[in-house]
Amino acid sequence: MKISKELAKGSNGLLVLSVLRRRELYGYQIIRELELQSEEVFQMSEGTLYPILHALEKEKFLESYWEEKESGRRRRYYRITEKGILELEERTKEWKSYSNAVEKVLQIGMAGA
Amino acid sequence: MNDQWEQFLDDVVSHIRDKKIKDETREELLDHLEDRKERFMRFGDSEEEAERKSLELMGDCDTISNQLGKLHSFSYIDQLSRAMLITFFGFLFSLFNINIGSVSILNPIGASLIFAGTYMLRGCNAKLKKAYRITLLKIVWTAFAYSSKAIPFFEEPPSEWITYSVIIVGMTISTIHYAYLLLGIGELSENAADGTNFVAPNMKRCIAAYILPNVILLLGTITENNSLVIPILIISFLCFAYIVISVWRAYTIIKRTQYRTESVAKFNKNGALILVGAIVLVASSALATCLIASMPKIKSEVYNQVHTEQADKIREELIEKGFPKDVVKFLPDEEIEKCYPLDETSVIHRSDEPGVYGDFLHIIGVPIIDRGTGERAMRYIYTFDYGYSSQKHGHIKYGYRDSVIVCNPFFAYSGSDSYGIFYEKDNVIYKQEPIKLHYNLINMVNGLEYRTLKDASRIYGYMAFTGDPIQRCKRSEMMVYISEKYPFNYTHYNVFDFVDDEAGALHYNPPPLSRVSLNWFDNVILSFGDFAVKPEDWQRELLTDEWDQLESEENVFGNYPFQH
Repeated sequence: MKISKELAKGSNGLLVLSVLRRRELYGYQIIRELELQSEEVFQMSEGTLYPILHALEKEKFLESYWEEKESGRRRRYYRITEKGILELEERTKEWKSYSNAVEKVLQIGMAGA
Repeated sequence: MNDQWEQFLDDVVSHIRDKKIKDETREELLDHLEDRKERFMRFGDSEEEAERKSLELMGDCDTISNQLGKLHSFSYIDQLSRAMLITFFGFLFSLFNINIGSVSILNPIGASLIFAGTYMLRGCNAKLKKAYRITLLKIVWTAFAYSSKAIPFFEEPPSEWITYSVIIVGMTISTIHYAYLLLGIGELSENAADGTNFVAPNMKRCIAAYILPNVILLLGTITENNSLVIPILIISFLCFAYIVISVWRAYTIIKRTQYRTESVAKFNKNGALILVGAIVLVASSALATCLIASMPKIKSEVYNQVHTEQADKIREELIEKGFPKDVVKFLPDEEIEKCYPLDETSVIHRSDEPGVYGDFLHIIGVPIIDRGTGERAMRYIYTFDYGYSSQKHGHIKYGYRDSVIVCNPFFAYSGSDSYGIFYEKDNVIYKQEPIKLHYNLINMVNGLEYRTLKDASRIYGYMAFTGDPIQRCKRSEMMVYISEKYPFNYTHYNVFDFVDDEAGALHYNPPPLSRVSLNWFDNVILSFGDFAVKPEDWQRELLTDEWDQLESEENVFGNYPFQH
């Protein structure tokens, strides 16, 4: 399905995978982590995280499980899968080569100025 | 929870179709809102303020809702197309048939697919809903008709009116199912074609095309009119082809117009459960057959012996001729008298007397090659056809058998199969037809009983197939030719499997167990003793003058196999 791939493959998907690489988190924690790690640069509409998470889960990059909270309510945690780790590594590489290229072009531009 | 949250959560999951995913996503988002609210409140916001801010941070409800909806609501169009395609293949496979052994393979797949299609389409309109309900009734009725051993009140075999009534009710249920299914599909395709250049197929004609060959078939069956067979085949093919093409047209119209209905269901657990249940019911017949071979249940029964002077005299003569003592001793007088004109050179003996038709059938000599020594010898297979007799004359019990093997339940697939056992005692192999048959309501055998000699060393079940030699000739099986006079004049037994060894001799090769599952009925006998037969040889010998020559050879009528 197109939509799930698009959501899963976008850069937000990359960030989510990256945050989950270190530990298992629930939605709100992911948002907090992203804010903290990017020093408040990334501030997504919080609700849009969930379609991304669900898309990543559909692609089997993530899996989720429910845990009981003290209040008796449940909370859904996400963890990265092996497929997700491979995907993350692949896309990190792509991202790096892309950002290197951009940097080079910018440097040349700066040198010319 | 405030109303705004409530509204937001309801809206955000509104496009998700699956209830479980819907509830879970709602729960997940609520959890998020609460965490956020708590944080705001920790930083001094009032509850109301915190709730408002948390909701704001969530972002645009429509965007999230659409994204979630697209992710989780399977595409209606895809689902409808898939359900239609499944139904189409169901009809297509019902048109053709492929048999493995005597088990029809493609046809049940077709029926299963039609069931799956009916199940998925059940919510699309009222007609399809009815079609689904009728399918459930159909499954229950089929189970009832096939496994009616559980029903105590009917006599076996069932009377014709019971059989035909059950068949007619079954056919009626089927017809109603197909009628609603086709009409429902027709309605879908009409809606889809509405306002386009497509012309929806006429499903009423399809229903007529379904009823016509079935009515002719039923008439042919009731009147036992064989001349109707060819017209039925041709008419059935044409009618079914028409139905298949119509369903295909409906499918393409729905697909091309991207017609959407929101009530297509996935083929979920419930559907699978019902279908698996139905399949298990049918498949249990195959299992039952294998059970005959692997663990026959022997019920010990002793029947009274009757002796007459003449019979005793014949007994002595037969024993002198080398017939196995057990057989001769236990054969009832009537049977012994039938044996009297028999000499060893007769390949086959049968009784032509009306009224005792089929009781003691024949003795078949089978030349064999001893696996160890390579010596040739003769084995006899004694055939008693009590199955036929029991059909004609009720269940006659003769006094020469003292063990009864019960194979029950057992389901037969077609009337052309016969089922029996071989048993071995003192190096002699006996073939035994059932002494008693149990029937279901549509007059198919679903239970068998055999009698054997006491202390048979081995017992093997088999299925034999009448005719159809080409299909299985690739495997070197044993073929037993029975007298041309006998109605089952050409019976084809798939009980042996031979391989060439290095010395060029053919040896019986017991099929490994794993193959049983692949070729149920071909390999029902798992092992057949330690000997080998070259089938081509004995077939030739059995049918030509060489028989006389064979007879004169000492080893043929030496001690083996009549060792006592």
